[in-house]
Amino acid sequence: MTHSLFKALRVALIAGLAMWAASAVPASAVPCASNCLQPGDHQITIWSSGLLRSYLVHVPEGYTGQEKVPLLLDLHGFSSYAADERKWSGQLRESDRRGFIAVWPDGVALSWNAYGCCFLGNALLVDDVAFLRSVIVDMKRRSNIDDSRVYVTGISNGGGMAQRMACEAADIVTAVVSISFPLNSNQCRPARPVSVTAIAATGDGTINYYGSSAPLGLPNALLGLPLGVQGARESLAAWKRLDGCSDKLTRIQLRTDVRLEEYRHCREGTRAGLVTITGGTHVLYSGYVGLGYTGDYVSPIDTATYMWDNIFRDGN
Amino acid sequence: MIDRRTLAAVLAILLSGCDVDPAADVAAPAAVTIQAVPQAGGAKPAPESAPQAAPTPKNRPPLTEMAPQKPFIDPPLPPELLDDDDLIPLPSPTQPS
Repeated sequence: MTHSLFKALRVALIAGLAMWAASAVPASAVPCASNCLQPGDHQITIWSSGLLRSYLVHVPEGYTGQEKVPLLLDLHGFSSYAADERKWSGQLRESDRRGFIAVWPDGVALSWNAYGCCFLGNALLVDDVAFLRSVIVDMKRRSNIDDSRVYVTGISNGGGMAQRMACEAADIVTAVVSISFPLNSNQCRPARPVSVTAIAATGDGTINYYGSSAPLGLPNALLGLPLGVQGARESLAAWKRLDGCSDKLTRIQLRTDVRLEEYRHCREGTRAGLVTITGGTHVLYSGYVGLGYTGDYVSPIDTATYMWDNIFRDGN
Repeated sequence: MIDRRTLAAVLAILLSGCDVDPAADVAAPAAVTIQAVPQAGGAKPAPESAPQAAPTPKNRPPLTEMAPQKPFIDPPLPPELLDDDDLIPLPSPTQPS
């Protein structure tokens, strides 16, 4: 009984917080209902699992609705939000350059309920998979999306959520790129093989490239904080198993401080890859200004450009 | 002036006390019975295993065996992921990047 009361209370509180946060974004014209989104920027709100959730949309200038285009979900990190991700990830620029529709959803209380991370979404077990599934379905209804080119990316907590979408929404997601977050689960059971690439830096002081242990006997996850995480290389090995890849590993030194290791022979034409940046930091967006970042960092690769040149360039 | 998003985040943190673990709803803890089992005559307890030698640069396990501790255990990395081939080696986990 007490648990039910607390559950009802927290649902109401989260709904209130979500609506309040959503109201902080300037409203735009009400988008269309069926395949009539116009080029430009939109904000859309939908109900998901009893919560009012919102997401930003950018429809590229050349979009007419006559031809199918790819859809990309770009997920912000913990303590960030949709408009911040839109500003820094580079996907807004790539949308106009490549002609795909870009979407930036907002997590609850600046977080996503990914595997072991992050507060508060993870602690309250927010059903973000259901929300992001709803976003994809809603966007397919409002615009002309190529079903074989639905992509999800994200950074940090958003990268973890992208990995979770690969596990739990592979039936509607084609490929995933996670920046600075591993799979971090052994419960991943994708409905079908799905291409997953991680971009990670050995100098990441937040989510350790080599994995980390919880300190002082604390649990590996505490109230949505990932105190112990999987290593980036173990994460790649996990996707090799999940996608049924052969042992043939392609290794490419892209720059002196950037290397690619990729399994290119996996079931149903999927790939599993790891781009490793030697050094670097946690947030790999050049010039990023945010919590602990002053805009000085310049990434050796532009992550958005890399994704569209190498991973999202076709239907795999 | 405080931004609404910042205020929402602060409120969310303050409200964290409302999180109730479903496991806490279990009515009664499971009973545990400990039963003494007689040992064979004269049997002595097995000696404790010798403590492992402290890691040194020479006996330190390969980087790839320094597996992180998580709620689950990863199987060993496949051989191809232990081989850099022509790639520039990565820094050690303990090396400054």
